[in-house]
Amino acid sequence: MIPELRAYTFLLRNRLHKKIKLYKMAFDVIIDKTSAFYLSLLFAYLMYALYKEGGELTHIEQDFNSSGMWQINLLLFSILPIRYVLSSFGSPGLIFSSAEYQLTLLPFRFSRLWSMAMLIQRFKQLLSYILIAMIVSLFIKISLISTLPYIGVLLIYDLAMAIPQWKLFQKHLLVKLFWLAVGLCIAGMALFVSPLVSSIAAVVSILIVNIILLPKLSSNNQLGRIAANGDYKIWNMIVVGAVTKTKFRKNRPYKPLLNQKKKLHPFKNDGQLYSRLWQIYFLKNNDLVLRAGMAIFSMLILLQLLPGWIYYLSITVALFATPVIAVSFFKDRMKSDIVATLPWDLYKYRQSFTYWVHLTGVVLMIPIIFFTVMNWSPWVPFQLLFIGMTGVYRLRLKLEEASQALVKDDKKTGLEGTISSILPVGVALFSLYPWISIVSVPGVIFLWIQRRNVKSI
Amino acid sequence: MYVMELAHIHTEIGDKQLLEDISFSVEEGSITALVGHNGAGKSTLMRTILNELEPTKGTIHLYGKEMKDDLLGYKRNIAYLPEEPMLLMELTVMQHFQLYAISYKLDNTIFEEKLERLLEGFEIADKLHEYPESLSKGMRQKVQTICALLPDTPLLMIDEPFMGLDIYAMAYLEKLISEKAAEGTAILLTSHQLERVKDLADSFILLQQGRIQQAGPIDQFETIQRRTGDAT
Repeated sequence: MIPELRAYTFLLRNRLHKKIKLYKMAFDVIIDKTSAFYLSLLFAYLMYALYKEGGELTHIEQDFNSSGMWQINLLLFSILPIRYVLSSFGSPGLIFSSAEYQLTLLPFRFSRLWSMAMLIQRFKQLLSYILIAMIVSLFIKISLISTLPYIGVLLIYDLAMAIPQWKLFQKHLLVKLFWLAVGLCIAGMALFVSPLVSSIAAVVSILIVNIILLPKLSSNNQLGRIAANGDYKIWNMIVVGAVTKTKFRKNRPYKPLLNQKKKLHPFKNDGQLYSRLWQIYFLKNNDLVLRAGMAIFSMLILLQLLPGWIYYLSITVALFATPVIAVSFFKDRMKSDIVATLPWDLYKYRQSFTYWVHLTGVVLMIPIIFFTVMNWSPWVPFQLLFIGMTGVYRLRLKLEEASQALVKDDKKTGLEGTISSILPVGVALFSLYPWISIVSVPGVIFLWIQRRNVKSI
Repeated sequence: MYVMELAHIHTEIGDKQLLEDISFSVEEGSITALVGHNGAGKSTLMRTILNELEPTKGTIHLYGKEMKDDLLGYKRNIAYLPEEPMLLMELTVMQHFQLYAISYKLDNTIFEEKLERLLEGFEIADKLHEYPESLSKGMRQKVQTICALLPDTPLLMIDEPFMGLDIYAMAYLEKLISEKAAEGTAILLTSHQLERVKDLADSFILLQQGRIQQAGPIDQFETIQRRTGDAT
């Protein structure tokens, strides 16, 4: 056996043993055997019910194999690379922890270790794709064969993007943003030129990038940074963390911030401090922030190809999801690092955070504005006003609720909370009843005024 | 006057009992040492008081007001020096001090006066515009110590205050802790350096397996230590 393979499999075996032991300890704490038995019965029943219901969905198979799907398949080819570029903001695409790093310090060849790690991890990935495909084929009654081309495409991309993502992860944020823009441009060609041209462009670009990067695979790697990321991925075990109430910390500095001389000056006012704290938080979690933002942004772009009522539905989803995601970042920030131990001025943290979310909101409004302008009607200005105001209102309300939860204040937003959840539904009805916008705008203005009178934390 | 009172605090994670029936109080100007073996529950108790871990039973009162009733006010009244520095690598040393000053709403003149004195005492005035990453572990500990000493809170909690500090810094910190107590701040500290603690503290709480084993004036501690062997 190749010495590198023996060393690497030895490492994997021991890692697996340790993880199993930790999970066992955690599950022993949280799982009561009797409830686990009944839960598994319930789960089995649900699975059976879904399987039986699956028969009703056979038409999906026809759609799945229809000629229209060809266009979507091509679109997949041009869009998929964006996924890897986005992932490179927070992950090298390969789990290469400090244990693997240690192996590279021993007399083993880096390129062999890397290749083995990559192949083994991609094989595991393939197994997970097959498992998902099996579940899908079981419930919606499409043959497993139909899903194989998709599995193939995903696997090919996983392999082809391994080196680019590995190298891109180690690059400066601006380089990553540049490649994200390139990816978006190539994907954009599918909308504005043709899906075939776009997918050819994507494949050719990936080939060229691989040819350039392959000889440089072993050189100039920031293994310390990669290992810190790998350690976090391996040992940040959500269940174990929740049981022990400990958080695996990624306490590596965000280097680009340290290299800016102007950042060395003391803060001139409170606003600068709060803004910097958020900046640090977003940059440290740039992968999550970008993934969340891009998911909504992509949805708002891609669904423009579908009928209008589906697009309005997607705006409703965005109006629901954006404040919820924003609030989860807000809560996480307040409970992370040094900030968790300090007394919070929640109003100021919120104010500074809102500025960043509003900026994101402006970006998210671009595809909506594009769509409404392309489908112009006299209602459009009111619709845009309603969408914008609803978004801002829901964000404020959700942040207020989150602040109350942070200080364990039991005050509930009650009726306001319910109304704020109903408002986005109005957008979904725009294609049927466009007049809803003009009727609802005064209502939202009234709610805004009411909110101003509420004493916040 | 009691600054903080803990009554029958129980902290559990799943079925595991971390703290069991912890009750004690700290008075204004007192220095209380939390002692015990590794894993006795000292840090868990600190985390519970800081509300990082929620007690499953019992109450914590600060100046007679229950923690749950005003969590923000509660946090404003406690300063904390963690065992390991929790500095943000992207903020300079000076920016950390500003973060504490702003969070605890310190008056600017008082902040500048205090900072000047502490910087001189800990000899880190020349490191103000550096990032923690470029500092040694001891220097980072000094920065974190200054951060915790800047606010004037009724309660100061210190986890292993002398860890990583050189002997001059240790002596200076000891002096500052005594001064703080003389000004009326209640101090709750954990330390493995028993000799220093005995000179500094005026009462002790001995924890064992998450329970209070003994508590009393610090002069009784030596007797207990002799009787039970090395208690810490």
